[in-house]
Amino acid sequence: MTRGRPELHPMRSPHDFEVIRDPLWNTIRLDATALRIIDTPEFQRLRHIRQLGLAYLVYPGATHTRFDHALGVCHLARQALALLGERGDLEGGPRGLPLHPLCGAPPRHRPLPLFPCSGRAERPAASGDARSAHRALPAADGIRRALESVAPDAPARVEDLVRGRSASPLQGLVSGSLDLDKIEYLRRDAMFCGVPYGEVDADRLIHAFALVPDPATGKVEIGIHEKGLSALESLLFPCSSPAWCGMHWTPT
Amino acid sequence: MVRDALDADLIDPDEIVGQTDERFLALLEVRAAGSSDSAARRVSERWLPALLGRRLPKRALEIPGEVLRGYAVDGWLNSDAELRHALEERLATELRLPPGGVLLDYPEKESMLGLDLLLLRRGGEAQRLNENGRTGLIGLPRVADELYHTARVFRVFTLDRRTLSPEKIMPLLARSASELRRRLAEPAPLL
Repeated sequence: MTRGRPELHPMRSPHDFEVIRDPLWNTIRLDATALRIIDTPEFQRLRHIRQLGLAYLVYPGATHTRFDHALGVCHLARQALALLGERGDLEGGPRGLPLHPLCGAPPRHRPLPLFPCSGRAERPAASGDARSAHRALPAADGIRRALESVAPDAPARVEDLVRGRSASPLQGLVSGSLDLDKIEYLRRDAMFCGVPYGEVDADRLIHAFALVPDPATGKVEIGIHEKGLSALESLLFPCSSPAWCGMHWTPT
Repeated sequence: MVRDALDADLIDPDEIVGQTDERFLALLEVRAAGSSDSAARRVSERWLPALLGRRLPKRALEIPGEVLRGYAVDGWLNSDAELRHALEERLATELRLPPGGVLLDYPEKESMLGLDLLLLRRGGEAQRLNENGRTGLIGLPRVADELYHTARVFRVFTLDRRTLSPEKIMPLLARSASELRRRLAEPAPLL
């Protein structure tokens, strides 16, 4: 080392991470795996699918896309995992598989699934289920390859999460009362539609996430600390308010 | 529009998956052009120009979901597409509207909250929190249920402006799928 001159670490490759601006969450940091997924044609296609379909004919601002929403979910997933990790909740539990591949899971509005979502999403008809399941991940070759770069079994594990059949305690972040998709679209759709009723306290809610053992079965799942109850109410209220229903059920 | 496109074989259901918004509309426009099929012509001459010009169907009737609690309509409207279509077409005829001139809309989900999660109490105890709430902790699920059923609205849309009486429609919504099918087979007007 040259005396008197501070040693500089080599600059990280721009492919290691990316920081982008978002009108809702301000700054979203994407790591290398997320970037690999985002750079696939399957994910880029989401730029051209409006989050609320034809609702822009009624709410002119509702031109935001599934791409924006997916990046937002990615941001929340990263935040939630970081907080759970910081508290030590993830130690000894399922590790390694980042949830950010689920950024690609499109929401509920129309049957254009990259990964058919569990939970709120429209499920394929029983007769077509096997065919849909067959084509879900294999059809998204770029995403499969990006996931395989994380771990060979990552595509299968992600598919289990998306379909709601994973044994992971983190399943609840993907589908359930506290799923990050819901938290994100409630905020984003309200913002872009100009219907600011029932602000979701996402930050407080995510800070209250905890991995909790079910007293009945002992199975650990994502839950919420009592301190986050008010924030939970902020999530439940918009889901049931006339304003929200008007926005999401506007028949166009 | 999607139904007409499928009826006219303009698009295969599998093709719908993977399309972007604009590409889907452009595909329908190209494929419907010059077709003599009546459903295809509705796509090219009615639905696509209506979308471009924002000529949306008009609200002819609204009935709050609260009023329809317990009605049989939940059992068939969103699960029996053929029956729903038959009812729409029959109403269109009786309202002197062209085929496809009546659209029925009733949000499918009977509940949005689906609250079911574990709550970690300050003392470290875990409790299951569900739709019944938790006395002294959270009562919103019950309030939310009421709000939800008020916000959930059954709507009838018509291509041109029409007025419908709830008294004429609600008896139809009270019928089970088989009862409604029998009623539709009768020649007596519904309205």
